[in-house]
Amino acid sequence: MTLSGIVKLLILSIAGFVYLKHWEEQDSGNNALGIAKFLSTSPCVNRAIETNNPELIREKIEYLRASVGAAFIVVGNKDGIRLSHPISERIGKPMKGDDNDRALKKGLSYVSVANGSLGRSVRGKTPVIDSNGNIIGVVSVGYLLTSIESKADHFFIFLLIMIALVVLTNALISNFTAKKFQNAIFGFEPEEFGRLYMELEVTLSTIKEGVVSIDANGYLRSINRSACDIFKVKAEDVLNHRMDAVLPENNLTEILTSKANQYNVEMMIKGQAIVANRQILIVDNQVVGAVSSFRLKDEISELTKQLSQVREYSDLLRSQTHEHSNKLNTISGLIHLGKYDDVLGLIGQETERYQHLIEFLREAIHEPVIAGVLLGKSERARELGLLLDIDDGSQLLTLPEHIRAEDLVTILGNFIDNGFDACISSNTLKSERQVSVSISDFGDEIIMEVEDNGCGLPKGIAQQELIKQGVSSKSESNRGVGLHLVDKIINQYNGQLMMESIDNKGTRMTVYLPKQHAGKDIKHDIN
Amino acid sequence: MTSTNTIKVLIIEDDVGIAEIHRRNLMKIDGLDIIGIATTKAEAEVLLDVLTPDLILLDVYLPDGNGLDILRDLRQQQHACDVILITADRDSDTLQAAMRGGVVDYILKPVIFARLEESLNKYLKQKNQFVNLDDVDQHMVDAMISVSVKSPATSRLPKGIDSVTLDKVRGLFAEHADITADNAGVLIGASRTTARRYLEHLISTGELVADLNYGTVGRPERTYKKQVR
Repeated sequence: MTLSGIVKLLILSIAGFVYLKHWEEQDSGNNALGIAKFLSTSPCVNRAIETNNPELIREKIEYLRASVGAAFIVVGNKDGIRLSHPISERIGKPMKGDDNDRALKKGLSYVSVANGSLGRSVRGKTPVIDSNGNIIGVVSVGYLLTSIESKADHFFIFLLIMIALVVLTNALISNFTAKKFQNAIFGFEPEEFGRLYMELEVTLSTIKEGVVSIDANGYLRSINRSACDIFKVKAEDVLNHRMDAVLPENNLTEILTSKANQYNVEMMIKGQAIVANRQILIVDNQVVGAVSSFRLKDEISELTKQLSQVREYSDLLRSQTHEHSNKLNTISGLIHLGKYDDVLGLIGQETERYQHLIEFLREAIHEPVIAGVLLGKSERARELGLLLDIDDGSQLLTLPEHIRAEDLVTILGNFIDNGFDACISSNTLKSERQVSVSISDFGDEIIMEVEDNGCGLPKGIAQQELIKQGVSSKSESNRGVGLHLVDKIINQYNGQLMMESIDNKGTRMTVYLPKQHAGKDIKHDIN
Repeated sequence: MTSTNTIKVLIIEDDVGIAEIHRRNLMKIDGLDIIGIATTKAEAEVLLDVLTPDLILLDVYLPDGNGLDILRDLRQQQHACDVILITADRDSDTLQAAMRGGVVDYILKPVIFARLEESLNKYLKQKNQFVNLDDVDQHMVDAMISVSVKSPATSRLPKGIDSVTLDKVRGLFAEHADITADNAGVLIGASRTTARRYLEHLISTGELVADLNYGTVGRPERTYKKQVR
């Protein structure tokens, strides 16, 4: 309830009161005039004036006055001498008010306000005209203004009470709404809140990540500029629509029911790969919506990855150079001492492991890409400070026609990378971190097994859940698709995938792929 | 093939010092004739055309190109020429290219001469066998190509399968109806992957079958049991 409201209400009330008073006066004046006209035509009054006999009309007029509630009814002759008056002593005396002229001289009927013998009054005056058309007197009917005012006073009091009531209820209601409002906006003042909102809008529109939020009913409540660019939509077209109707690919509404936050999930939106973080919004233990922030998995993230790899590589080179110069130092020392066999031993030792691995791979694994991935990963392991152990008895000779080597590389590479990650993010001693690979095609199936002694499978996530597209237990953004892809390949070859945790210390992934095309029976030679 | 029993060797190596050391070391080996040294890719291509060597010691890193390109060109031009790759490269692409190009050997730098000598001697031995041979029989091929021949009809065991352990594994099924690789490993005192290798081999000979068993835990396990005949 503002001050202006009170002032308006006051002005309105006073205006109303003044108008009412004015209208009352007008009304009384008109009434008085009507009565005066009626009396002026009455033959009785005529006769009383002509005969100058007040007694003729005294009772009648007094009765009439009392019944219409007028203050006075005065009949005067053409000289303004009273023939009737509520106070009988004043009969015969001249009329007060000096406003008879227009009636007596000009023969007009009118309403006037004047000070009479009884006080200030509104009066209706009309001339009395005889049968010959001569003005012979005047009739004046009057209402005292004070009585009119006292009539209007009721209204005034009523108005004041009403004002008080309105002000009071207004105060109550506004107080209540203000409280409610302040609660809703955390006790901020409105202008503060407005500024905050603007800041938020500007912030959202400037960040490079796309941000969308939905309410508890799945309606899109906000979308920033980057999100519009990524989704290729206009904000006004999608805001306040159901999310699953306007952006069906972004199944954000699922989160409302699953209540599981998702981090670094990969998704395809309008043919673009994005990486999203999706969180449920909870206020006072109530789910009020969900928000998703995401970015394009673009060249930049790719470059960042490469850059970090280059950094790692240059660090590795630096340390190798250092090792190398130390070795040269040792060699020159040994030569100086004439210990030539030691020199040869030292040099051989450096390449021995690797040479052995290459010989093994060339012999046991006949598919170059698979040998390649094993070699590459074992070098990668060395860079990461862990060991990739390839089972000596591994063997993979010529692949069956229908099995693509690249698919096996995808499976192996993925398992091995996951093994590395598990080792790195575990508390296993650095010197003991190990990923073991074993490949067999001795039987009717190709068996590939990758074991690590890392952190084990993430707890509380079912195997099917891990395989599902986009669910990654890792913080890196380029992994969510891995297992899903692997699972697809395995299904395509009719194979089986097994994931097990080993004694709560590590994970074992095993894949069995039948060498035969699906549907063909395997024929054994019967010895 | 040369009519004489000497093998013409070309050394392709960017470092003159190392090339010279190779040459001196190779001269100690009988049956090799070092016919040239190339230190760039361009030079190598000329010498290959002119001298038609039987064997090349090929380094991957060359100042004006990549030794693997030379290898690929050789194969495309159907040169009857063997290659021993000598490189400091440790990346998987090099290994893959070498495998696709069918190199005789892949030797890492720094080269220990003993290792190179061993490789060359093995090569010469094979070469001579071919030269002295009028026609090839299966045993020869099997001996030459170190690929295990997976034919259950023959009693030859593939590499990595020895008969003693195999009998041990067979014996397990006298007492157990079915068995997992884990258990088999424990019982024969070997790793599970080793045990599995033998079990899988026995599947290929038709003695065993594998099956997925949904164990008590609800987690499927692969078990091996005797093939019912």
